[in-house]
Amino acid sequence: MRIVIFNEFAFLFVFLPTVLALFFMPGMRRWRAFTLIAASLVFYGISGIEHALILSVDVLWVYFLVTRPGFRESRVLLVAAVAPPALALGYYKYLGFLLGSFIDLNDPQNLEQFSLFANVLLPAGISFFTFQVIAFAVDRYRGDIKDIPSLSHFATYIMLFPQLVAGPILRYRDIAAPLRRLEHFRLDGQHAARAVGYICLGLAVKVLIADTLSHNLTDYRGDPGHLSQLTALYTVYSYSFQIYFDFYGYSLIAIGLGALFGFSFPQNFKRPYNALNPREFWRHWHITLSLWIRDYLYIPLGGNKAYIRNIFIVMAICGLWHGAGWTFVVWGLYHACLVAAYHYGNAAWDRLPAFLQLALTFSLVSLGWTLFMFDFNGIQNFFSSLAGSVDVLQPDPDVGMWIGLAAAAAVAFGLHLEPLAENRASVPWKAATINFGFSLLFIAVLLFLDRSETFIYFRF
Amino acid sequence: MFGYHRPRLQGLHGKCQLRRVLLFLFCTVTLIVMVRVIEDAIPQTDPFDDRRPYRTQDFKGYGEQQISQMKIRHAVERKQPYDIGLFGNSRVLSVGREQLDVGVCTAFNFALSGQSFRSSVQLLESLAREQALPRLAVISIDHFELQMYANPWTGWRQRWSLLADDVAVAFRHRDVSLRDKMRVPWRFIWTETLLFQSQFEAAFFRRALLEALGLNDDPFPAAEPGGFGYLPDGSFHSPPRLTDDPPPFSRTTPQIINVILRNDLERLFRLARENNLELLIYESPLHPSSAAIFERKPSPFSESNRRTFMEACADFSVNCVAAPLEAFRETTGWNDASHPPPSVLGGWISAFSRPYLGGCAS
Repeated sequence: MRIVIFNEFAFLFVFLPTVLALFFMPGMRRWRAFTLIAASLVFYGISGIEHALILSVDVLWVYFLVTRPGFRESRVLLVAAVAPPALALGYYKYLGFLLGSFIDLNDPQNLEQFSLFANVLLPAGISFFTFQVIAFAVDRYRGDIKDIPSLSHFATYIMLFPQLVAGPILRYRDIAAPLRRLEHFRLDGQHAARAVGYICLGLAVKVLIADTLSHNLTDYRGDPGHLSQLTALYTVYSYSFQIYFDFYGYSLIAIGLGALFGFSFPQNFKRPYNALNPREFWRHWHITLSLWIRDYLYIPLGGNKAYIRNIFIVMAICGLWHGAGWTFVVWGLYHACLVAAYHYGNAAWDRLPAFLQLALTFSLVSLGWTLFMFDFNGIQNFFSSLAGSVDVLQPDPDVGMWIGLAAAAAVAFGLHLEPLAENRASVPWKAATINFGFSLLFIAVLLFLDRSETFIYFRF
Repeated sequence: MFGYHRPRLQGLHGKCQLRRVLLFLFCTVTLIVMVRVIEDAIPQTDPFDDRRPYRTQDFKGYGEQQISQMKIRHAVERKQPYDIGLFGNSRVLSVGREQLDVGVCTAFNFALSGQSFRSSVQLLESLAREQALPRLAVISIDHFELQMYANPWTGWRQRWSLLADDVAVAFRHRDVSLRDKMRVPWRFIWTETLLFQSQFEAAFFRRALLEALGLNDDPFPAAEPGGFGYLPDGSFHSPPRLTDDPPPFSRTTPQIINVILRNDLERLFRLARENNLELLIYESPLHPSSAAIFERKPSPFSESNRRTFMEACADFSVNCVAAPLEAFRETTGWNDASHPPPSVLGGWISAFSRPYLGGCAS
């Protein structure tokens, strides 16, 4: 499947400049929402016309129903509005997984019989835009959205290409005001400087850090049962940084792209690996997803009234949201266990030195990511490597790989990138140095784009 | 468990902010130009020097732009013109001194990988400007069923000049469809985008940077045994493929605009006339299994292109051969359906060119 991604030349030097030129073209002010919709459909449609069609139908269906008179009083209409997008998500993402759980799809006969449901090509980011349409319908039903936007504004909200395939998961209130001002938006220095900062830093952490770590891990991921203990530990921590910088990079770029069109997207990460306990981790990791789950799952389930039960439910769903597979469910439940354990043991945990709390939280979270790397068989082999009970066939990481890991750790734990990305240094020499630095980073990114990979979270 | 703080944009001095964006843009453009300049520089060592040992040399980190410059510089510095120069792309690039049977005549392979006939014309124009043309130019034009007619990658001035020329030709002729007219600028944009992108290959930049810093002692080390690389005669050596029966070449969509093909041929013929250059042009062969398909049912557009090609050659009395089939009935040794065995091609070129060579003084 071909996906247009932010870290490729065609996007940076053809697609984006073209969209910006059309968006800011004199005489096109009134058509700005349509420009963004068209651009987003092209952006998304390249992965498959069928996928763009699903997205469009989701948008039209939800908009048609939420604008019905009496929608806010009718639970039936709410269910009717959210059911088709949820079913589409279920069909594309989970049906094959469910079938595979009960039927042997490796059997050609079964595969032929269930071909309509097995091997369905997952539209990129379907989980993200489905959550957004559901959030809109529920917010409207609850009365949180008073003024219904026009269809073009609603479509822009759902389809907006900077966040379409991997978030941040927006609420309508996040972009309602900029949408209303879309025709009058002028790209001033403030927005442009912010866009430069976020895009350059996002590309840098994705291409220079995440992709380097990914490149270094290729052999180890392919042979998890033949690693030394040291290499297995390297794999755990490297992948932990890779997945963080991959998604964090995407989120930074999305914020930067949003700024170019006048939108101020919410931050999706807040230095999550500096969290001192598992609960704090979830307040700082993929924040927009955490908030979505809180508002549309956790609270309706009763919230803190049945804390442990609800944590296990929402974490299992959170795991399933990340991928259609039992490893993802286990990952969610693993995190539920961590949160629950902290809930019961926080008195002891909080007495530990802060450094130890941080190291433990980071290590436990990193260990959990192995469920994203391998299937159960791979996990078993990998943990055998970690226990030191295997024949070591893979070489240990060389000095360069350790330096790469150390650099990733230094950025993750030591640097607060958002203030830099905001690009608001008031001292002239600082501002000049920072922007020269952005320029150097951008060129370095261009030099490594040819080996860059797609974003991990596109799968979700 | 959940909590979240949202940042807000705050009012700032817009002009001050704009200045830093302009600084970013200025630095980025400057750095891009610097990357380009560093990469375009070619090392002083001439990898095609006749005195270098006849072995495969590793050209890792060099693009076609640099290799064409090196080949031109070599021809210029050699002073004595070659008796035979081979022009084309990868379909003739593997033909070297060992595959040619031309006696005491000197030969050099000027072909550039991934290029089309247009690049051969441009390369010959560059050589003519430097007065470094060979006596006889044997040019491989891609089989017309391949429809490969990309724009050249070398020399930005020449590329812009070619665009102006193509636009003039396409718009002067009424029988050129609007689609083909639009194809001319689009092809230019596409080529420029690819070229821009290619300058950011890390291997290229790393090589260029090491050279600029004087840290590259041997820019053309011997390739690993059986590996890829250029020989001092300009040819490219690659390990033979194991398959003897490549999959047949499938039909493609029309790409060649006849009036532009004709214009390129006329440019070439005029250049040959002005520089007393002997020209031999042949349409590159296809593997017998693919050739059989197109012999039975050729595409209308390829037939039309071939007609244009042969008519132009006839008008200027240039020796041209359309898809030489008989010599290429052998099915073994092909790299793929359109890359013939170098030994067979070399033998055919030798026989084809011998009558036009006359005596070789060198």
